[in-house]
Amino acid sequence: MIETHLTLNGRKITTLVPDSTLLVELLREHQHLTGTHVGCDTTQCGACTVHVDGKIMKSCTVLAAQVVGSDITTIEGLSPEGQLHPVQEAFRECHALQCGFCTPGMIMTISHFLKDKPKVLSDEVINRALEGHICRCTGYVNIIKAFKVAALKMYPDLLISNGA
Amino acid sequence: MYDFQFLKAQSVEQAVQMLQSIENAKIIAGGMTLIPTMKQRLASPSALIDLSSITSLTQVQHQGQFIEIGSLCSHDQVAHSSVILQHLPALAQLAGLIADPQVRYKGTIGGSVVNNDPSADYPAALLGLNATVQTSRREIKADDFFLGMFSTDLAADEIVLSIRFPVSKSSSYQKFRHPSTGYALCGVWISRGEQACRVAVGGVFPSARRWRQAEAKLQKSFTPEVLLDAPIELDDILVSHDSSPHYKAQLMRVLSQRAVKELNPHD
Repeated sequence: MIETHLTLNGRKITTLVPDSTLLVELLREHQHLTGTHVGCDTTQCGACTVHVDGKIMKSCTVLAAQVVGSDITTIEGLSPEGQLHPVQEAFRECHALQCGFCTPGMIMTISHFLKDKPKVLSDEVINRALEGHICRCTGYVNIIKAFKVAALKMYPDLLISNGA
Repeated sequence: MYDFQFLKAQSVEQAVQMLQSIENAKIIAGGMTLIPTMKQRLASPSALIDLSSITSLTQVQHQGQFIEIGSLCSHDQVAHSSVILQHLPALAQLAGLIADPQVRYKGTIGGSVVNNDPSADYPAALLGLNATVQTSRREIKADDFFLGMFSTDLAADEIVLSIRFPVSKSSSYQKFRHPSTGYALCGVWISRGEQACRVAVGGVFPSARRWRQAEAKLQKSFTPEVLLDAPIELDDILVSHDSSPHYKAQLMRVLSQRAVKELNPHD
């Protein structure tokens, strides 16, 4: 067993888990934060993406033991209770989801990408940023639209090529 | 996931000692290949030895004509390191083409090199740049390091500490990415030195290897045309469900020509 102390959505927690526990298992099964989804369980679909010390990681392929002492943010901790993050607002406005299974991971990646103002935002930049995600409803058009809308909410003077 | 022990090594010596004393223990770097492999039961170590507390393994150092990259440097770190961007830009570019952003934050150069996946990117760069692998007990030239599919010259209790690359601005990496996985269907690294040029190919054979017939031709004339009839060992090409040997050979030829063109801007 490993004593896993970490900062989770701003709260310090300590949990005793088996050595082999994946980060996503700690989040979902031990902390009951089920917003982080397990899609493929093979590091491909990105539904399990969370922020670890300011970086994005696929929590199905990270052991809880590897992130002891880290600062972790999940979709539940992205914005204060009752409020939506600009990326969440943009997803709602643009209908950027169909079944919604991949959405939490997408939102974690986009919010991470937009933490700093990008120099320029184009379809190519967006496609590369979302490379670690798969949406099987084929809703990519609206997801890309939401990416741009979120970026403009956060940085109104941002230059976007290929139109918004 | 099945049960195993997770141990944090505080020093390289301690990690080596753990490898020697625990049966079927394995080093974990980023875990981006190891963890999926364990989920599939293709590997089932009894213990994982984590090196992340050894901060010296995450350094990038510029020493004269060399850049030494610690084995635990992530792909993202290599892609954005100002030293690497300045002195070895093709390597930074290569690192930025690996997998996806999430994997690049966690996956490491040492892990990739040690795993020696036939479709990995780094092995071709090590061979093309004549890099040296520094381990816990010796230095190994890239030419002697990669032995075959998922196989290297590394002993069971030996740990890669860093990789030393000669500085090179006249190198080019050309890659045809698999559209879904990002792995190299083919990746060609060409370095043009004053005396010699090196051509290394990944993604095509069971292990990355130099394309010596192309090197010989480019030595005489560094032009894309000489590669049109440079012989390729078709029988050695790894057969896969998505590409025939002839297709891979064609990719290898075309990407090599692109690399030569990039390094030969006046022709």
